[in-house]
Amino acid sequence: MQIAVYGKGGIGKSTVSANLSAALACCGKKVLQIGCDPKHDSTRLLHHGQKVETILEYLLNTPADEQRPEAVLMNGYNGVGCVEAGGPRPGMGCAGRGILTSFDFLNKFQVFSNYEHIVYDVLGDVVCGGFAVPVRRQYAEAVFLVTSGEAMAIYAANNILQGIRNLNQKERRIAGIIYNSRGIGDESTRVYAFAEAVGLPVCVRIPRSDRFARAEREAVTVVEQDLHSEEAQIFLNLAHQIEAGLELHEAKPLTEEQMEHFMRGEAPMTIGRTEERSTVSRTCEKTEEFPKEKVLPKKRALSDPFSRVPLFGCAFNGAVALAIHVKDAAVLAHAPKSCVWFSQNGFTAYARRGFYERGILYPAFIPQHFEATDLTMQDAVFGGVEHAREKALALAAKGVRTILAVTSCIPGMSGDDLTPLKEELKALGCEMYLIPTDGVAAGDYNEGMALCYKTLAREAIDRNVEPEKDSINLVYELTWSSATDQNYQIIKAMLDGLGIRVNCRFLCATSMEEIHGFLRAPYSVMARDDVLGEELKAIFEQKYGCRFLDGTFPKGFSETTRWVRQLGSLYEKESQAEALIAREKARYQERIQALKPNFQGKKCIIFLNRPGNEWLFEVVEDLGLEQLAVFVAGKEKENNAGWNHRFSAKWETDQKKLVQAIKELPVELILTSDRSALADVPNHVTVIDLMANERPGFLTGVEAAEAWKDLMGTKMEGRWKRDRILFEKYYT
Amino acid sequence: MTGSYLRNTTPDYLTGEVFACESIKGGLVLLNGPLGCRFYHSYGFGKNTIQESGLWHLRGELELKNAMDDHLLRSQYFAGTPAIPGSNLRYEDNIFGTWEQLERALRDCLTEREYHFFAVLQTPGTSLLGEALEQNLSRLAKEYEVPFLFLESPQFSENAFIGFDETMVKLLHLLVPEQKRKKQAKAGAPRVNLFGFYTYEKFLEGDLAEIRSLLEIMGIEIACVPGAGSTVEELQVLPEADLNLFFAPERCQQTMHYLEQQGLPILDFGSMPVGFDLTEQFVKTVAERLGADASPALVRIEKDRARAFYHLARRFGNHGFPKNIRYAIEGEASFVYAWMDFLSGYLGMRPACIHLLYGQCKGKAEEKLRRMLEEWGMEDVLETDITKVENAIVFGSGNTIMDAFLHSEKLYGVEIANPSTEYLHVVPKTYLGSKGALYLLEQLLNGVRMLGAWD
Repeated sequence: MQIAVYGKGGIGKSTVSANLSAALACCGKKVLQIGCDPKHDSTRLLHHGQKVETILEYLLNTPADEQRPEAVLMNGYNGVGCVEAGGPRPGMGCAGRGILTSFDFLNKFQVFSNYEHIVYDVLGDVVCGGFAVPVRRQYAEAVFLVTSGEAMAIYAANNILQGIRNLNQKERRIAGIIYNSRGIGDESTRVYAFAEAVGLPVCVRIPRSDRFARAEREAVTVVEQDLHSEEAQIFLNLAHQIEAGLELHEAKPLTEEQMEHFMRGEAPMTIGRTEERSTVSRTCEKTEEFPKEKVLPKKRALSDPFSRVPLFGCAFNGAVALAIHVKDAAVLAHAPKSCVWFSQNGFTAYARRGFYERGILYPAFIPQHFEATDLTMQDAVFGGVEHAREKALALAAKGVRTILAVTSCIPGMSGDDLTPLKEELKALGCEMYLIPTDGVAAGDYNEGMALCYKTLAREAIDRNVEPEKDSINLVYELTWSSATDQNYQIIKAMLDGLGIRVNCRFLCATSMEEIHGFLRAPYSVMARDDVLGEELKAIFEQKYGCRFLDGTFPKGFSETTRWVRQLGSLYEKESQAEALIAREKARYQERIQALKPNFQGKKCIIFLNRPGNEWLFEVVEDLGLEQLAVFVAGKEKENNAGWNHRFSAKWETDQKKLVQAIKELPVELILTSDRSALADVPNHVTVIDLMANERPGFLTGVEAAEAWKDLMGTKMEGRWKRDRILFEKYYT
Repeated sequence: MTGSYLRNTTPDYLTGEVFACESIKGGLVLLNGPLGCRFYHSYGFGKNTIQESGLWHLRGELELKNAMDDHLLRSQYFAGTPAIPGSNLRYEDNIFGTWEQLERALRDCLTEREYHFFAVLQTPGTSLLGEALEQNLSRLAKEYEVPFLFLESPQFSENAFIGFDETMVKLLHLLVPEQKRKKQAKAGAPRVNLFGFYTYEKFLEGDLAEIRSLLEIMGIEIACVPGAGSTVEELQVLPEADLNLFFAPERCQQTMHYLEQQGLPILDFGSMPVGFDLTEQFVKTVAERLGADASPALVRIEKDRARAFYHLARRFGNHGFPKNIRYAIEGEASFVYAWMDFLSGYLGMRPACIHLLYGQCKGKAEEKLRRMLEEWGMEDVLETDITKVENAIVFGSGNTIMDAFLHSEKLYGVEIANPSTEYLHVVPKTYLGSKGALYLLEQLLNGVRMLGAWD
């Protein structure tokens, strides 16, 4: 039989367990005792205080292919097998996970099958699922609760019953109470009252006795010390009960309110959810004093399914994907392998596409200094700080001067704190910036990027740099697009035309040198604008007094004209600015005139899920398109690529209006940034997908319209569309 | 500095679990965790095979009718990408427990579609909670009358193929009824099951087509390919097959052991049939075990050999491959061994670098490979950095090839693994069998011409 002994810390579980194991062994049974408390002293009395290597210590220090169960299994009194699960240092790692890991290890080697009785000595504080493992279906068949009459011991016993009920519902798993007397006041009354209230028998009463203390000092059980003693006979009696077959009971914990009454000593015999009992006692009639607790689901924000807008990606991934843009820093990903693998495949996708589609290798997306800790189960259990430290020191030894350390869910949950490592590395001449995304704790992909941006903005800017007059910073370029480089070249060409140098691209294909020297430039410009962009800008403005140009990278003729004039004014280059505008105006008008015959008078509907569309309305007007309807869904500021909109009521309302408009209006062209809003578009209507990352500059609209013209000219449907039925026939 | 890390990054146990579960058609595979954990798995799967859910990827009108109008696809669990939903947990769920949200997700999916089984996979973070969810899942499974699998521990950073293999055993145990697990005779053409393929394979469809073609001309049928798109119905008749063929021991060691224990007939080929010689060996071995006639397949291989000879002789005369051009390759030992047999044994090329992945799966294949290198006196190629080779043809994933190009342009890359450099393959291709040998040769001959430009 598999027996779990639960109870409050310090109540005597280990003493009870060890004596019970010893007594069962005296009955000629093969017994295994497993200590599930991280302090690993459960089996001490069975093996006379010898040093035991815990399973977790052993797993930590032994290569997987050399691991054997004998190494952690010690034979104690009368052949009782003694095993200690062990655990991490207090405050580190995850002890619950440690118990799971230990049980996995014992299962792997089928250790359980060698014994007739298994006794689990389990920490009473069921603080996480790991401590509940022994009472799960595949392990303990019977549970003993050890308690005294002290309030906290009874609270703990009730708490354990609650845990067991949660796990096993109405299964009968409780053998009863082992009353370990402390000899305090009328504790017997209280223990027996509690037993009755929760419908459990008191299997044995262990009196307070010096014999236990003496045996403890000798590191033996009372059973071994004197089998004929009164105390030893109690355990033999318990062993005989087990041998004879235990009657098992359902866990029926008291509610919080009932416990409160009980502990106040109010009408102890009336406690209990007696309506569930098979026999009704006289006092049960008073149960109206303790009405059955009205079980209402506690409403927390997250229990509302509509509050769960999907998190787009994970924060760890977002932070890593941004951190690799600092070319001369090493990125240290403190995460399991799959997280690193997916991050890597995510950011290298832009490099692979660029390489294939344009024949260009973008080194920013193929980081040469990307290291990962590949967190293991042991790191999850014991904490992975040491592992991260080794990797970081190795990087420093190889000459890395800056490390950007990004943490995933596991270090977050295990409580890994890499902060002290920063000082150690600093002494070696290596700066470490810690980006503790802790996976989902920080939020989604965007939140991870935010953390990386903000950490470097707050911590890596040098205030003591010489200003450089004709220079500018570009802030918050889109990093997850293979078009970013082209867009940068357009902006750079305009700045070059005005004699202004790019000082720092924060954070896009940049370097620590550029980041440190951010304050050299008198002005900065935001590449794009959303919630995160504003937060980032506020950091630069408030912490460093940075000055920003109005708006973002300009799109379309008018906006770009204003932008260039502003630059000319701020940098005292008005004449160069006007010359540039004049040149571009001539080009713009020439190309608009050439396009106009294709668009003049065409009827369009515009559906947008993002701000910053001035360029679009400008070109629509300049081309002579007739706007039948315009919908702008979503919030004014959105930092999630329009993603959240689709889960909002407003988006759905706008989508319905759009669908209705398509049905009712004589539309020829739909311009949209959110194609997923469309349904059943007639064949004669051309749908234009507006790119997520249009080129900036004077010619944004013109270049877009040139592409639309080609689409408008395409009226041939293609017979392939008829083959949908074949796809369904052969592939679904 | 650190040197490149990229080439060492491989998926881990969790991804292996996903590969195994998602490979069986008609199942719901749900990650109990935040959506970030499932998001990338979902993308990875959509790209490699044609799937029903692929409709959701199609652009244009098809997308409109099938994508965002789909209740599940728009749900918080799929969040716009097909397959492998997640329970969409928040950090707070780690504190209060995940069942409430997990149940909501499962009910939403199971109510909306009919599934043949469901699998709940704990993500790394969720697994740390050690929650006992089996009983609740069991209750739900009874209610919806579907079997379920609960994978509780993603074994952080453990080899993906160990995860794949162990999960496959669990799936077979779950989905093949006990009374059917023993060999059952069936009349008709001999039938085989194939093991060792998985859905993230570079050319899965073409690989299976080539193996099928070779077997079919010997009168042998394929019953099912667990791990590569078999249905639950196909799995249930798995024990009726006359032979279970194992190709990549790294991926299916435990599955093989499991089937052996069930008393089913096993053939461990030890590697993939790459090149003409291993393909010949493969068809002969299978034919011998099943009493089939190998000669039609051998004739086909001979014809392909003859074609290869023509192109090799025409290009290089009696000299063979240019001696200054070497090759570098990375992959699992059994794969690399097969490739080396073709590249060095058949073509006479010298390796510049052999980079073995998934080092945790040491086995017979790696021993054979090391012996082969010892015989040639080339053990040092195991220590060479694949990104530092020059004047070489590099066989690897798109990432490795790109990484190598950062250091030298005197390279020609042949993608044999994912992720790819995004070339879209419409015609199914393969590197296996004799057709695969010809395709490989085509790439090599053109690669040598490209490299010639650097001489």
